[in-house]
Amino acid sequence: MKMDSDLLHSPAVGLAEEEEADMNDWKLPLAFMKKRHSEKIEGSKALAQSWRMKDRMKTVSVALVLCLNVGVDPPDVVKTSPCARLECWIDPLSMSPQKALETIGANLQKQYENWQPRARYKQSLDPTVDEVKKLCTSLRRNAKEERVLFHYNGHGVPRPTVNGEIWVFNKNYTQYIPLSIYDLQTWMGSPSIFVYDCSNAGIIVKSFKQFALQREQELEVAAINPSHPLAQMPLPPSMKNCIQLAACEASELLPMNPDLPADLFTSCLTTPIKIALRWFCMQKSAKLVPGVTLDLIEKIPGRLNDRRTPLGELNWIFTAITDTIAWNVLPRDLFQKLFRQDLLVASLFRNFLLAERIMRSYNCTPVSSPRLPPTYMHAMWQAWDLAVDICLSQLPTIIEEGTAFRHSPFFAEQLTAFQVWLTMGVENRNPPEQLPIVLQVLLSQVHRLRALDLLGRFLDLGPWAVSLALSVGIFPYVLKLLQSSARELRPLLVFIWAKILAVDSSCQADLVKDNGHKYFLSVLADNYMPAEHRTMAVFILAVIVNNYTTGQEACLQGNLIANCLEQLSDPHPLLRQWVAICLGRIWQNFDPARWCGVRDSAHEKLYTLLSDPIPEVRCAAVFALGTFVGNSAERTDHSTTIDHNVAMMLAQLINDGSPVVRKELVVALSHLVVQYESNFCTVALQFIEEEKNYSVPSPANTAEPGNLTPVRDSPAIPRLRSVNSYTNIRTATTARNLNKSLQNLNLNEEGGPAAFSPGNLSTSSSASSTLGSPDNDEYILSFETIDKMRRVSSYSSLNSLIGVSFNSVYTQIWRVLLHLAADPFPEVSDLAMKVLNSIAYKATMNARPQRILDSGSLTQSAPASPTSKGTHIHQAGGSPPMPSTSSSSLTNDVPKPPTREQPATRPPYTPTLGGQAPHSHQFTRTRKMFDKGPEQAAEDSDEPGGHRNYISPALQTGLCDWSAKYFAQPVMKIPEEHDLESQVRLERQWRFLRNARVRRQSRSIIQRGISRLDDQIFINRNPGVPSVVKFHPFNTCIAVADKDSICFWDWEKGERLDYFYNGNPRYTRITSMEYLNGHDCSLLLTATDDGALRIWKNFADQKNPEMVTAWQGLSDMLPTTRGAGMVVDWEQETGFLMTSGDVRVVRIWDTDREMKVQDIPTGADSCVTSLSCDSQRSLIVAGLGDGSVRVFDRRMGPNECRVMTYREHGAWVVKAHLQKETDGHIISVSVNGDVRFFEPRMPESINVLQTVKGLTALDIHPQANLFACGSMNQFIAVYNANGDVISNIKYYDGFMGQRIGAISCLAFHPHWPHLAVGSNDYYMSIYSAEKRLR
Amino acid sequence: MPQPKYRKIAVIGYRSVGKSSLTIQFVEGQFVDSYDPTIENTFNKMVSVNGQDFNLQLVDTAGQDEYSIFPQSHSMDIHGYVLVYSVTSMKSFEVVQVLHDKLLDMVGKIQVPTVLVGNKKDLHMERVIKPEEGKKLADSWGAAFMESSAKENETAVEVFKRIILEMEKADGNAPPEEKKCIVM
Repeated sequence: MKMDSDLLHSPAVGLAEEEEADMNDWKLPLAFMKKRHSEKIEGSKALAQSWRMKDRMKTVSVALVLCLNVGVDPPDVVKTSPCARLECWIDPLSMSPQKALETIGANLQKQYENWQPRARYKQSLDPTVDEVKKLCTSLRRNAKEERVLFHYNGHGVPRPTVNGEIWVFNKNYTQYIPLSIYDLQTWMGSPSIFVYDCSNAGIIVKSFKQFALQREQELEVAAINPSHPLAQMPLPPSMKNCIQLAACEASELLPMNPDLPADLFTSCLTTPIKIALRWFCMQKSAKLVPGVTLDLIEKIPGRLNDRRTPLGELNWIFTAITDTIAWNVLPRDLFQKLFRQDLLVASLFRNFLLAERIMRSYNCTPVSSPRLPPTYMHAMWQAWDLAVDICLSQLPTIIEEGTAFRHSPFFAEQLTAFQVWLTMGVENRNPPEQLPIVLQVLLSQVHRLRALDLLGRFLDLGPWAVSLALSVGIFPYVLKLLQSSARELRPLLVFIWAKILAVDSSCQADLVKDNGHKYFLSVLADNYMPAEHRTMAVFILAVIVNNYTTGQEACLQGNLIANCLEQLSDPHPLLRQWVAICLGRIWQNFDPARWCGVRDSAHEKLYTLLSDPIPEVRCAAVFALGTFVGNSAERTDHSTTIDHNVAMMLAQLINDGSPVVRKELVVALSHLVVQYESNFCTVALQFIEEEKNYSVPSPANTAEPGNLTPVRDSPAIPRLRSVNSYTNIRTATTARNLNKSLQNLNLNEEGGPAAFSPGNLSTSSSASSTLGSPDNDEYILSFETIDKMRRVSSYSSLNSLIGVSFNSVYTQIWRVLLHLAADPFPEVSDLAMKVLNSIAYKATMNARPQRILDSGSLTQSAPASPTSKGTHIHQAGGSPPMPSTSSSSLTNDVPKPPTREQPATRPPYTPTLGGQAPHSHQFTRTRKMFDKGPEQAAEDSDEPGGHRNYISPALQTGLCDWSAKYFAQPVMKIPEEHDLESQVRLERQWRFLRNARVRRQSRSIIQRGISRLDDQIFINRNPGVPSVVKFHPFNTCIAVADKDSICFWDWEKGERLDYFYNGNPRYTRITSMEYLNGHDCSLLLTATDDGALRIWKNFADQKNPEMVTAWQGLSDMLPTTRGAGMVVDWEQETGFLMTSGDVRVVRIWDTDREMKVQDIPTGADSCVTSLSCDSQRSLIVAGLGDGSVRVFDRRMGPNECRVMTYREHGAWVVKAHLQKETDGHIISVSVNGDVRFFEPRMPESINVLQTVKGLTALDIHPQANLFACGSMNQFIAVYNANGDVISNIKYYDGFMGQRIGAISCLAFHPHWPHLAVGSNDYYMSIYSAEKRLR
Repeated sequence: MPQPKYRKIAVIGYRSVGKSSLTIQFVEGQFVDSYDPTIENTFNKMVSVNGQDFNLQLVDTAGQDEYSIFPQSHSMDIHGYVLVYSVTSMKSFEVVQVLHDKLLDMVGKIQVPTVLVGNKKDLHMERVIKPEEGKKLADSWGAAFMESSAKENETAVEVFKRIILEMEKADGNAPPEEKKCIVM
C-alpha cells in the first residue's frame, strides 16, 4: 500500500512563516488570566480608621489668667533697661495700672477669639488662689467632657518653683502666693490645654508631668486595692489627655529685647501674622526689600479672614505652610491629635511652630507636651519667607500709588510641585510634602479644579494614598464640595469619592447625613456623563446602601431603583455589574425597596444580565436576584410567585462556566432556602427517604464487573504533594492511606489480584479516593450521600417524585443544590454542602425520625463508570441503572480484554451507634466507615452527636467586596505588563524567545527527515497507570495523567516535578488533558469522564498547584458501558474549548466569557471519541464511537452545521485529526487500524492505509510526516508519510530489556520529533528520532 | 502726753531671710512659717519707747538680690532701715552688704539709721554666719547689730526698738543716758 506523501501534507514552512508564528505569540489571547482567576474572591482588608477622629472635640472654655501686677516687677527678675514691655500689644505703663491690666485682659481675649470665637472666655486678672480655683472648677463643670484652655501670663510674679508652683497674689497684693500645679490639675481636670507664658516655663511642664504620673500611680493603687486610703478619696482625674505649651525651657528667661513684645510667646500663638511680619522686618533679609518699615506692616490692606486681600492671603499661606510642616514632621497619630482633633488646639499648634522659629532666634526654646520634633529649620519656612517677601515688596506701591495687589504664586507653585511628585511618584517614596496644601487649595475657587484633579490622581495610587489623604483631613472638604453645583467638578468628585469609599466604606453615614447621595444620584442619571463616571457614581451609591438602612431609605426616595434599571443595558460592563450590585444591596433586607423593584419588574430586567458575556456581571445579577428573594419580610402569594420565578431563572445558571457565578448562585439559592425553610425541610426529608430506599446496584451486590482501573501498587502508596487550600485534595491523600488496608482486605477476600500487569501489581476496582468535602464529620449529609442523592434524583425524578404534593419549585431547587454540591470547584461544592446540610439538619431535627438501622447497602460506592480508551476496553462494567442503548453495539467490535475485573466489595456493615444525635446517623457515618474499615466503627460512639457548627445559610461570597477592590486599586496606572521594563514583560519576552528557538530547532531536525524514532530518551515509572500524556509545547515538561492525578516529568533531566490530585470523584477518571496558554503562562486543563473540567496552575514549578477554575463542561453524560469519557480540543487563537464525549453534542465554551456558546448536535447515538478543530476554517471534526467521522461548520445553525459525515470506518474511531493548514486534510484511524484520509469537500476518503489491528492509541505529529500507533498487544509502530514502518518498539532499552506493556496512551510533541508513550505497566517512556546527549 | 512720733521703717534684705516673719512677729505677735514671697506690704503699729509713743509704719519689701534695681521708693520718706540677713545663708549676708551700698547710693548720705539683723538665730545647726562677722559689718557701717529669731517675739520687738533708738539718735535725741551720778 502506497501513500501519497502529499496527503500528510508536509508543512514546508519558510522562514517567514516561522517568524509569523513567533509574532503570533504576542497576539495570542491568554485564557483564564483575569483577576477573577488569579485573585481570591474577597474584599481587601478594611482600613483601620486612623483618620477619623473618634474623639473629635472642642475647646469650649478658656481661662485667661494674667499675673501682671503692673508697675511692680517680680523680685527674681532683673530687667534690662529698656526692656520688652508690650503685653498684648499694649504698653502697660501708658495708662494707669488697673486700666492697663483690664485692657490687656480684654485684648488677650480678643486675640484668642480670632481662633475660637464661640468659647466661653473668663478673665482672671491678678487673681488670688481662690479666684483661680473658682474659675477653673466652674469652667470644668460647664465644659463637661470638652476641652478647657488655661492661659497663664506670669510676667508680674516670680518664676515658677521647682516644687511645681506658679504664683498668684494674695487679696491685698502684698504677697505672691504659690499655686501648686497639682491643685491646678485637680481643678482643671481633663482634657485641658495649658499655655504658660513666663520665664522658666519648662519647669511647669516638668512638674506637671510628675504630678500626672503620681496621679496615675494613685489611680492604680486605688484600682488594685479598694481599701487603700487613696481609694477612699475622690479619684483625681487622669491627666493623660492634657496638652501644654510653654514659652521656654526650664532654665530660660523670656527675651527682653525692647523691640519685641514682652509676651512674645502669646503673640506668636495668637497674633502670628503680625509678629511674623514684624520679626521678618527685624531680620537682615528684610533689608533686601527697600522701604518696608514696621509702620508699613501695620498698613497691609485687607482682613485676616478674607483670602482675597493681601493680609488674608498671607494668613492663608501661613496656615498652609505650618500645617504642611506639621504633617511632614510629626508622627501621624500625633498630627491627628494635635492638628485635627480640635480647631483651637490645631491653630495654637500651628502658631506654636512659628513661636519655635521666632523664639529660637532669641535663644529661647518653646516647649510643648506632647513634645514635637524640631520644625524651625523646615524648608517650607523658606517658602513662607518668599511669600512674605513678595507681599511686602508690593506694599509701598500699593499704599502710596494704590496699585492692584498681585496674588501670591505660592499655591500654584505648590500644586506644580505636587504634580511633579505625581509624575515621579511611586509608593515607596516619601509621601508628597504638598498634600496638606492641596487640601487648603480646595478652598479656593481659582485653584480648585486643578487641585481636585491632582488629588484624584494621587488617590488613584492606591489605598495607602487614600488613607494618607484622609489623615490629612480632606474628608470635610470633599464632603462640602458635594454642595457645589459646578458641572466640571462632577467627574473629579465622583472619582475621588469612589476612591474614598472603596477604602473606607464607613463614610456612607456622613454622605447620607449631608445629602451627599443626591449628588451621586444626579450623576448616575446624567447620561452625558461618561460611563466610567456613572459606574463610580453607582459604586458610591452601592456603598451608601450597603447594610445601612438610613442609606437605603434615602436612596429609595431618591429613585435609585428606577435610575439603576435604566442603566442595566449599558454597554459598559463595569457599569452593568455595579448597577446590579447596587440594586441587590438596596433591597437587601429592606422590603420597601424590594416592592419598588417588584413594581418596576426589576427582577425581570435583571434576567437579561444572567446571560451577560462578562462573568462578573452575571455574578452581580445573581447577587441582586439573591437578595431580592432573600428578603425576610412577610410573604404574600404574589411575592411567592415572584420568588419562584426568580428561583427558576437562577437555576438555569447551574452549569455556568464560571465558579464565581455558581458560588453566587449557591448563596442566592440559600436565601431562598432560608425564606422557605419549612418547604425545603419537607423536600429534604423526602430526598433522604428516597435515597435510603433506593438501592443503587453497586458492584458488590450486583456482582457486575466493575471498573477496571488497575490500582497502583499498594505498598508504594504514591507520595502526593500536599496541596494546600484545597481541602478535598488533602482529605483525598489521607483517604488513600486509610484505604490501603481496606484494599488489601478486599483483595484477599476476592482471591488475589489478577496477574495482568507486569510485576506483582495488585489490581483493585477503585483507588477509593473520595472526593472529599471539608471534614464531613460535621455533616449530616456526606458528600457521598449527596452525590448519590443527586444521581438518584436525576434518574428517578420522573417516577418517584410524582407523588410529591408540594410545589415542585422546591424540589427543583433542591436538586440544583444537590448538583452544585458535586461541583468540581471545591468552594462551590462546600457552599452548597453547607446549605444542604443546614436544611437536612433542621429537617431531621424537626422530624425526629426514629433511628433507622443502616442496611449496609447505603455505604456502597456509586456505580462504576466506564473506562477510557486509554486503559483497556472492556465490557459493560458497573452500568448505571438506566440501560444504555448504545453500549452493546459498541462493545461487539472491540477485542475483549482479558477478564481481570476486580469489583470492590466492602464488608457489610451495620453501624452500632448510640443514638445521640437526633437525626439519622447513617448519613454521616457511611463515609467514616468506608474510610476506616469496620474495626474502627466503635470509635463512633466516642463522638457525641456533634453537628456543632451548623451554619445558618446566611452565606456570602466576597464578590461585592472583591469588585469594590477595583476602585481601591489604581485605575489610571498603566498595567505592569505594558511596561517594557517590567519583570512580567521580560519573563514573557524570554518565553517567546524560547518558543521561537524550539520552533526553529525542531523544524530544522524535521526538515532533515526522520528515518527512525526509537531512541528511548526517557523512561520512568509513573505513580499511576498513565491514561493521558501531553507534552508541554515548549518546555521540557510532560504531563501524565492517571485516573485522578497528574504527574509532571522533566523529560530532559528525567526528574519528577510534581504529582497532584486532580480532585475528581473516585468513580471518575481523567480522559483528556490540554495545555492552555502553552506559549506563555501555562495552565493545564483536565477533563474527566463525568464532564467536569478543571484548570490548574503553578504546577511543576516548586509552587503548590492551584485550581484556577473548574466547571461542568458537559452535563447529562450518557451512561454507556464503554465511553470515550470526555474529549476536548483547545483553540488558543479564539479561546474556544470544544468538548464532547459520551454526549450527543459538541459543546463549545468561550473561555473568555466562561460561557457555553454553542451546542452542536452530533446527530449520532454514539459517543464522540476524538475532536479536532481549525479556527481558520471554523471546522470541527469529530470521530465517533460508531466509526463515523463527522465534520461540522460551527458558523451554521445547529440543524445544518453537520456538513459531512464519513461512514467508512467499521469501528470505534481512535483519532480524528484535522490538519491546521488552509487545505489540510482529515486523518482518522479506527481501532481496526485503518487510517483514512479525507478531503473535507469530498464525500469519500481519498486514501486508506492499513496499520495494525487492536489499536488503542494513535497520534499524528503535526509537523513531521509521522504517526504512531500503540497497540494493546504491547508494541508501538511508527509510520512515515508513505505508510512505511520506520520504527517498531517492543522492548524497553537496555540489557535484558523487558517487553513493554500494553499501550494505554501516546502523544507526539507538537514540535520535536518526540513520542511519549504510557503503558499499563505504569511505565512512561519517551522516544526520540535522534540520540540526545545525555 | 507728747504727740506720737510718725516713723517709717523699711525692712530690706535678700529673699526668704525672714523680713516678713520678723515684721509680722513684731506687729501681730505670731510666727508665719510658710513662705509666700512678699510683693510689698505695709504695717502700722504704735509702740512706746522710753515713754515716747511712736506711730511706726513698717514697709515689708520684696526680697532683693545684688542685681535688683533698688526701688526709688525705698529711698524717700524712710526714717530708718532694718537690713536683714539670715545667719544660715552666706548669700543673704553678701547681698545685704550690696543692698547697704545701694541704699547709701540712693539716699545720698554716708549714714542712715540702720540696724543690721542676723535672723534665724534659732537655727543653730545651719548657722554659717558668726555673730562676730555681723557685728564687724555693722560696726563698719556704723550701724547697730543684733541677732534675732522671728519665732521669738522678744527679739523681734527688740529689733524694732533698736531701730527707733537709732533713729532717735540720728535725730539728735540721744536716748537719755542712764543718768549716773557723777561726783565731781
